[in-house]
Amino acid sequence: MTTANHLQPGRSRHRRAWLRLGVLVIIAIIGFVLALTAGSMDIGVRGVFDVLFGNASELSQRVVFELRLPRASHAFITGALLAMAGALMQVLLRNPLADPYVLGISGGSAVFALLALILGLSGLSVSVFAFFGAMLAMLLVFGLARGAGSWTPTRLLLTGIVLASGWGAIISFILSVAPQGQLRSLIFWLMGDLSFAENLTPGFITLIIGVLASLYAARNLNLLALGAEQAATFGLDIERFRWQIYVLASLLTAMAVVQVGNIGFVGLIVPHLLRLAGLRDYRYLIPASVLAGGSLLVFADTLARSAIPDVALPVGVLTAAIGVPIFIFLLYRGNKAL
Amino acid sequence: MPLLQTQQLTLYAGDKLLCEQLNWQSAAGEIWAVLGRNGAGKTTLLHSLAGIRACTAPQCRGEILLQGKTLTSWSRKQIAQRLGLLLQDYHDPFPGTVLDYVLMGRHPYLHALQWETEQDYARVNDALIRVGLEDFTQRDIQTLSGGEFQRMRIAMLLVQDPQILLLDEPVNHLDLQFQHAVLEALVNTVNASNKAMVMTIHDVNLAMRYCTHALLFHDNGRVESGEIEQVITEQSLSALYQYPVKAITTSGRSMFIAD
Repeated sequence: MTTANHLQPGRSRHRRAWLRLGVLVIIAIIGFVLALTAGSMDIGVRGVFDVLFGNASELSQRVVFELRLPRASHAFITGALLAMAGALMQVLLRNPLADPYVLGISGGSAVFALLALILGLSGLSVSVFAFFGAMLAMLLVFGLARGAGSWTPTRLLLTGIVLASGWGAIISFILSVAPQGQLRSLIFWLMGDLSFAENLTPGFITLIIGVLASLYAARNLNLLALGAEQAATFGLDIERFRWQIYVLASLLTAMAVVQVGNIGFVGLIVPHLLRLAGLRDYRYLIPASVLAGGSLLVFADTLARSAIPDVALPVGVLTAAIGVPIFIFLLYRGNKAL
Repeated sequence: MPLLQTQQLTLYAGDKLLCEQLNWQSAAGEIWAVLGRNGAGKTTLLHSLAGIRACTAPQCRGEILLQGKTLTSWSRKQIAQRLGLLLQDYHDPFPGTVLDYVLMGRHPYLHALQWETEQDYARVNDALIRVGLEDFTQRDIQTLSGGEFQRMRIAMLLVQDPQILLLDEPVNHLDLQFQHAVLEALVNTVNASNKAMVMTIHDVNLAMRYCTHALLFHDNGRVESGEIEQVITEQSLSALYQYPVKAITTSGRSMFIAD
């Protein structure tokens, strides 16, 4: 420890956190640049900068600005939504393994989205269905977990897991009775597919609302991580705050699911990795989750599009492939129990 | 005016009567030991006094007054500025540094978007020195031993700096040296800034040494209270623990041992 830490611990704590956030910003920029180079048309890193500064052909301009940049932005926003939802759910349940997918909210959302697709609906109707499904799943899991009044994290988590497998069974059922022609797109959607990306605005607005609300509540979130009783002794009105966070986390999840389908890994891994990197305080963890979650999905999507020539892999496969080894590595290196 | 007061407080845990129509009060400068067998209601009393166990019939009847006003008429934040509680047995699932953790003790005094000032950090540093953890600021809490974790949480309570300190078994996990160091630090805080303290404790001799008053939670809801020298005797302890207790005198102090 340096003497500076003793003299101005506040300032050096800020500096450590900002350093990490700075690294995440650089990673995000690299992610975007790589995403803009990847695709069937060959545009290198240099080519990307030519495009950005207006020195490239019209075709390159169009490919970058109309296809690749929107897709990368979409990936970033979705990753950020999922990571933030995960960060909120983990503190709500006081369990680093919790995320909205574990609780079955995305499952409920997916069931209703699939129903909409089977019914021949498209576009906004699918979104509305998925959103309704997410809300229904949320009410179900909280209603059942609350039961006779106790509302312990363990009970909530178990209820969520049971309901999630229930939703999974319904999804399997829908897939097995679905017409052959639709099957491939349904399965693809379930694994998470960014090629459905159409309109960036709803996701972006949701993300902004989510970030502002969580930053406002950030110190309360820090307290909630201490558990209900301890948080109450430091002045938090637990009941109301838990509901607010639950609704916010569900909104973020629903929006992510509506946009890209099922990508379950980001919300689980990103906040935990950031905590292991020393960002426990939600005032740092929220912006860090946005940057890291967004970047993770941008990288994953770039890899998904370019790993195997002429094959577009589902991005959910790639997030797992990137996330699992990092997670296990950090867990073993730190030698800490979850 | 007493800092903390109960009027006709009756507490149940399920069907078990813990205390009946308890009239008790604590003034500034008093340090109370709460003694009793396992399950006698010590923790329930502290949780009720802190307002984290709602006082609703049929489990709880009577009044709890904080600085003369009903507890429920204060907001959670106002309570947190006046009264702090060290919970017993506590586990934290997330990694984070000792500094991050102890700093949260300042929460009751900050607005939603306000950051801690260097004065707040100075308080943290001061509290960590008092519990012997000044070199631990950057340590991950998940690498702390049980005793170090306990001392960190006591530092957090010192940083919260409430006028009434409630502690549920504060010397849990602490070695002999730190039992005394921590209790001395707490007693010094109480005396220096005119606070009141209530702690549950199983070590009668530590209670005798550091506390001024005692509350004895007998079975059947009977509670004895008063100045510690008067309340704690061979007879009362033998009845309390349902086990023969004997006083011996050594170095001018009377010590209680199991016979």
